[in-house]
Amino acid sequence: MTLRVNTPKTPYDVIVCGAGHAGCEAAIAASKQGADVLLLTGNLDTIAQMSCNPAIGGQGKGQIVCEIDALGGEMALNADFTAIQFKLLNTSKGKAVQAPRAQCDKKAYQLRMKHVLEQQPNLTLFQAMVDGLIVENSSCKGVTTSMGFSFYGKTVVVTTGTFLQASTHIGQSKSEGGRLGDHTAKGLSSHFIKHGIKLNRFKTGTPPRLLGNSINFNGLAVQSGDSDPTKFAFYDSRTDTEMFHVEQNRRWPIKGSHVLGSNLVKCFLTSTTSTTHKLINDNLHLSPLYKGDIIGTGPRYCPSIEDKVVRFSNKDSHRIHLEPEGVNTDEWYINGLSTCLPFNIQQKVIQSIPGLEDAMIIRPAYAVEYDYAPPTQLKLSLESLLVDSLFFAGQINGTSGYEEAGAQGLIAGINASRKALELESFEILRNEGYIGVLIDDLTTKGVTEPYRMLTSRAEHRLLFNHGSAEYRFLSKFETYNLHSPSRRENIRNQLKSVKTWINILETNKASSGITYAHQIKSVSTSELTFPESFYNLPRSVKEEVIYRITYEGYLKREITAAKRIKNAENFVIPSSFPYTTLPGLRTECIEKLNQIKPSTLGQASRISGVNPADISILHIYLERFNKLSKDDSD
Amino acid sequence: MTDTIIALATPVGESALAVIRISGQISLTIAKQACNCINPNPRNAYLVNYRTSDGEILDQVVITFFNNGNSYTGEDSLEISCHGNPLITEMICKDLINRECRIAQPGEFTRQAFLNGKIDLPQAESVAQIIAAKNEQSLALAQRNLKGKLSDKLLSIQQNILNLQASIEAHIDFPEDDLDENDQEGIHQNVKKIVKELEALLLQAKRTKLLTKNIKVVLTGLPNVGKSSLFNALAGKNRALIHSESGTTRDYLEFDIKIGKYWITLVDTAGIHDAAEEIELAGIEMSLEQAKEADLFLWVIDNSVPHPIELPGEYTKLIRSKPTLLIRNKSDLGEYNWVPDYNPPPKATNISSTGKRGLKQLEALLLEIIQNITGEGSENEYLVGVRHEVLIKNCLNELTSFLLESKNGVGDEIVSIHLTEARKELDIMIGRKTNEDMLDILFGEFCIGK
Ligand SMILES: Nc1nc2c(ncn2[C@@H]2O[C@H](COP(=O)(O)OP(=O)(O)OP(=O)(O)O)[C@@H](O)[C@H]2O)c(=O)[nH]1
Ligand SMILES: [Mg+2]
Repeated sequence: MTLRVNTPKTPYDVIVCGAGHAGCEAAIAASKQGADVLLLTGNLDTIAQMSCNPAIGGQGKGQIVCEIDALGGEMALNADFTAIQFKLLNTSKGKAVQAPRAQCDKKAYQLRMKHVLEQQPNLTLFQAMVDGLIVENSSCKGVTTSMGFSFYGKTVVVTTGTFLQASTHIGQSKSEGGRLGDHTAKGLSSHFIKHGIKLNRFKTGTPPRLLGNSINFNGLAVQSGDSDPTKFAFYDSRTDTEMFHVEQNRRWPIKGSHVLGSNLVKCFLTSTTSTTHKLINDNLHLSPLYKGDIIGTGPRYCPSIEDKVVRFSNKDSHRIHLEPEGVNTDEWYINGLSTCLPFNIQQKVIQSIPGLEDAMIIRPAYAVEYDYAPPTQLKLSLESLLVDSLFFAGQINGTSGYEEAGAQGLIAGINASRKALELESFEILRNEGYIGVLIDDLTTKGVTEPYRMLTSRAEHRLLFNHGSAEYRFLSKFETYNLHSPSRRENIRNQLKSVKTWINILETNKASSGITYAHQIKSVSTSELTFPESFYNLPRSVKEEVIYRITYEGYLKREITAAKRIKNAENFVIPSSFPYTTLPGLRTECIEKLNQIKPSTLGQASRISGVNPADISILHIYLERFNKLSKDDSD
Repeated sequence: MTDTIIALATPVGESALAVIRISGQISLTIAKQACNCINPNPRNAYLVNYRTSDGEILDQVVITFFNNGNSYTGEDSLEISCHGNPLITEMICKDLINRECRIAQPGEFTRQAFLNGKIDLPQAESVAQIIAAKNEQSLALAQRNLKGKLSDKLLSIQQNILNLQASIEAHIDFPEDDLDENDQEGIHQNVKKIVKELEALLLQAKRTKLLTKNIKVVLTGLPNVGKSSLFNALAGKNRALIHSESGTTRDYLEFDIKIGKYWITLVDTAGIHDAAEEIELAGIEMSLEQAKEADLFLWVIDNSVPHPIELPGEYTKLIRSKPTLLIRNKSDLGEYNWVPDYNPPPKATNISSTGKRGLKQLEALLLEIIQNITGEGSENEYLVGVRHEVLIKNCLNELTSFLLESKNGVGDEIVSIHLTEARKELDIMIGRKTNEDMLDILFGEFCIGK
């Protein structure tokens, strides 16, 4: 495909700016929808880079990755194939809150994703710095680049991560850039502001990286992976060609590539000492966080070590996890030691930790401060409320995490292409999955710190077990073209099989005299027996059957509750709805509604400051509005 | 399925008649199950007994069923006309809530009517304005209530539940963080403490009811001990028939008097003994009925005889189960000062009804007992209305389920739902706390950040 420069008459369907975790998913999803996609990145070598920890998944996030896979995204496969250690979290708790996580080989992850993009039909990859938007009549028509030429597109997806007006901090030293050693996206911020899009500032940080052979691992607690890995992607529903598209089609074998699902590495555990804490306390005044040089809000779930020491002064030690960044490198990620203390203090801090006495820092810890665009300025489709055909996904929306970014990229990509192809938008609601919770939270409630998924954010998390993602979204596949017909058919059959088997286990008795279902609820896993043919079922079916039987009563209750949300969710508010002219609504309420522009009555009811009586009034006027506009068109 | 909503259609307070309106799918079920009216003809009135789900008769009521084609709202509807006593209407509303109805939001009936095409737009719009006005009003009211002691209590309970949930959620969402073992025992202790507090509030709800109606004080005792004489002495005029022959009072008599700030219904009943005549038997039967409904007993004995005859066992039991003041009457004739042989014995006082001696002392003691019942002046003095009572009960049920399931080894991710549900009930009373509030506590209390 030829690159179409400066050609407003033949625009791309979708232009994606940025090839991080959001951008990659957006570009792939859009091209899978049949759109003609251009993916622009400032640097081809940093595609799908894991800027922080070398892991995908974890609590709340692992479930999102499974959902991305169920919706046709790439992140799950990419993580599975480049993982070097798998671990299922929360195994001591119920299945509902268990989450897969994998340590990945950072470089392998990037290379594989890049190769997926290279092979993707309808997708053009190009290295260029986007420095402006082309907007006409409040509608986005394309982007300008620092090379002086432009690209035109029917829709534009912005996934600039932490690169907007970004600065990095190590102690007093401050430099421009969205990542240490990288550039920053200038110009774009002023374009957003010019078109009425508000921006705010967040900060985040990353710990130092050490050279492995300078670490003394003797005596440190070993953290190994699971012997029976839990992968992110669903393999039972895929045909072989769908599974290994890169692995089979790549032109050159990647050296050091390994077998899917293997545990190649170990992680280690150490902890801070009283010396560490004294060092930090003595040098707090040198941290830009405490000096006030950084104004952006940081994430509370990922505090810097100085924050932990100050805020939890009663704890005399904090855990530090040592995680390898790959199998072809000896760079180690020091999880738990994010900081922006000056480099010389970082060195002393490292030396005060058991096992790291002689360790060498090969990449210092730093904090990064960047612009984000408060996501309440977006629709559920992630299209801007202020500029038509402009979509936002990833960290620019005030989130953190590869998984959260990937999920938004997927949704924005699907919607950008559907808009370009003049199809109705694709939305996932908060009663359908974590991705629905994510997008509803962002667009309705907004963010006060970098947003990270937590299972407690989902009202009905029991319905969102990671293994059920494909089944949950089955109805979506019927309407939206997310999978190959064969995968769709397989999922449909599997779900049928789940239901049939629940029935069988509920009615038939095991040798002990009670039904299999009763047995599942009452005896320990090791003592469970099943009818012979159950053992031959695909693993995903077996697990879902057991899950649904175990939680039966609770799931019923949750489903009823989720349905109640759905009623209000089905009540659509037209985007042109004139709140301001409604007598009876309070001013505060009108302001909120105008700002957030909820797309359903259900969403409106979750906005803080909108109370049940307001919803009653709104409901009445909506009925009238819908009736009048119907009469008009008759 | 949409909710079935209820509301009092007549103004709150004493009136001859009150109407409760029900609209929604289960209206007919209620006619059947609560009123035993199996197949009501639409728009026909039926005189029936209203029974709670436990089978207790609350009132004789007139019900009218409207099928969805013919009702105001366009949903199946039921109107219940009951006696205008606020207590009765509240009890019926409470029972309807138990049967899964929900109190309507302001203007919700009209909203249903509009949505079902029963009223036109101008009508609906005018209602919207009323809703808006009412909304301001109720907000103002809520704010005023917020300053009360009850709200303080509920706020502290809400906060405690949030704290517990923060701890549970921290352990679910941050399994790899360096958190102390989740202290199950401590959490259980805390929930139990909250349960106790809620139970105390429910007790308070009972007491509150006493404040909204008269307190029933029943005079009971053997024949001829001077019950009627005392009744008259307290009532201040000769209302009851007094006679030296025993068995004079065969019916019961009521008279309302005020003691302190409390309104009391004084009930004079027939003396209790092995009845000879049919008509007396009926009187004694009625005495027992009254005794069962008593909030407080004045147990009158004749102090001029050394050992009064024991009351029938049934009475002794009743007397012991309720607040009782032992009145040793006819002390002008002799003072044997008998004390019943159970522990602790009731408070006692010596009087002479005919000599009008000891009456002031009696009234003072009576007031003391009443204050004890209502909790006046104690630090637990809350006004807990029926609406709150229902919500508090729901909250309590959720917490009890939490304890039960948690003890049976059900996972934290599941039992946590009960805390969320319990919080929702509190939210209705004192305003919403969101997941964000919980997270604020979580990140404040627990050192997160692997
Ligand atoms: N000396 C004296 N006589 C009293 C006193 N109280 C009541 N009597 C007399 O006792 C007799 C019975 O009094 P009632 O008041 O009718 O007694 P009662 O308990 O209501 O009797 P029954 O209704 O028959 O159960 C009357 O003759 C009263 O005058 C008292 O305090 N002193
Ligand atoms: Mg009498």
